[in-house]
Amino acid sequence: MIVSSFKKLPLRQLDFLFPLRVGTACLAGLAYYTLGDDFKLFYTFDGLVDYTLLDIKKDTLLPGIQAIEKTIDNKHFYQGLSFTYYSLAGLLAIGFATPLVACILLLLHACIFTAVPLFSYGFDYFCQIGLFYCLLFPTYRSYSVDKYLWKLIPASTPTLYRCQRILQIHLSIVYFFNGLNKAFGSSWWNGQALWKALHLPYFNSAQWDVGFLPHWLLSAGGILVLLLEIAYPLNLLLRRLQEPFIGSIIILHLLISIFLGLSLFSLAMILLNYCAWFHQTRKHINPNYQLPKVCRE
Amino acid sequence: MKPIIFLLGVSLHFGIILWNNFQHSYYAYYRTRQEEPRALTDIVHIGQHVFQYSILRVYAKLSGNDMPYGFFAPNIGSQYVTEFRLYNNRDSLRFTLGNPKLKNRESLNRYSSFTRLFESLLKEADRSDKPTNLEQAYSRAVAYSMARYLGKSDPNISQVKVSIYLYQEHDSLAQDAYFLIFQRTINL
Repeated sequence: MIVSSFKKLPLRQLDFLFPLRVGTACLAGLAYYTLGDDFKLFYTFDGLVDYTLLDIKKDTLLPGIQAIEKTIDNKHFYQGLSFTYYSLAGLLAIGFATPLVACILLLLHACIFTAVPLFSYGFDYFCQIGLFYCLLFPTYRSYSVDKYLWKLIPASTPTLYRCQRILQIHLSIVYFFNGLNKAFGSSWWNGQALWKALHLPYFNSAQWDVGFLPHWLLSAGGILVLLLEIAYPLNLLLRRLQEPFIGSIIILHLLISIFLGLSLFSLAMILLNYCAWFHQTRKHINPNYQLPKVCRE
Repeated sequence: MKPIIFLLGVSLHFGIILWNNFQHSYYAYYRTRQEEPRALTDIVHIGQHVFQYSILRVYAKLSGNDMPYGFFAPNIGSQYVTEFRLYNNRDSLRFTLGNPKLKNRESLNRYSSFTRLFESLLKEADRSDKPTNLEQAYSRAVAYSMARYLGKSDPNISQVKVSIYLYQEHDSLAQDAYFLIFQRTINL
């Protein structure tokens, strides 16, 4: 039902590149905005944890934003950083110099949120995946300033099909391995996982007391999550499964957002699922299709 | 030529993702088992060797695929809860903070992810003054660093007592409890 109602929206005429670009840009902006003043606690050289300690856990050649701050050594560094970050997110949303902007935003996001992984969590990685695909896919060809400035034609059907297939396969790997790893533990089978998730102190300021629920219901909930995740790749093969399946996955993420407070993470997953399975491009290509004149020239 | 480059690129991209996740699942599965199949162990070692090349790691990092997908897997771990007690020059308690003055929900999510590093302190069986391994030493240094940061935010503070608890759930909320796993006093 959820899927059907989505399909009735006027957005149906769009390809998936537009929501991917705009949604990812908004998510990137939100990643920064939602931290507010706490940003300086986590991501400055003189923050909560000494940078020398954070640097030990850094595992790639990318510098952490704290190291860049130390090198530049300017008291207005963080004002400049905020301005740059928000501007890049805005430019990506409107699709101006898209590949270049996506590339710089990707690097900046990596330096801030994932280069030093101690303060990062699932959302940061999915936001990064979104930015990476904005760079890789021809997102500038869909309702962008670039498209109007350079008079670009929309991405061809085969290109759209390939790009969306890549996203679908990626999400299938994500859910399959997540479900498989959960299946190795006992708590997802016996209902303990859901009980625990609802009582973790940092996630649940309200502490949902679900003691009144029968034990079998918690077990069934855990097993349902496992099934949904492990069977996710079936969506690639069985088109009929897609509507109920993706609808269930979206409901699952909404519940995660409500009960665990992981709103940004849920939003990122809903966005990626939306882009992967809605506005689907059909593989069949019309043999009579002719490229527009501009393209032929 | 173009399709070949495309296929190579896609294979490399998904190869990295699959490798990262296969490795993680392998360790998750054999963590509690005594015997590991020789052939699989060899494959894992060869893969680890190949993956050491910086270019592959940087690519994995930039594409957001350097971490395996295993959120809340194989089990949901218990959370580690911090408490900071800040004392003034006369040794009287001025504040007690559950977390370092975080104002936002998202910050709390990041902080809860960060506190998982205190897991190494659980193994501190004798509560001795000296850490028994590098991970413990690291966790202690981080706890000191946080305490120092909070203490220095107010000039009247001369001492910070940092406590780290493991939150354990039972069959009902009434029985839930916080178990102390680490406590130190830091003089500023």
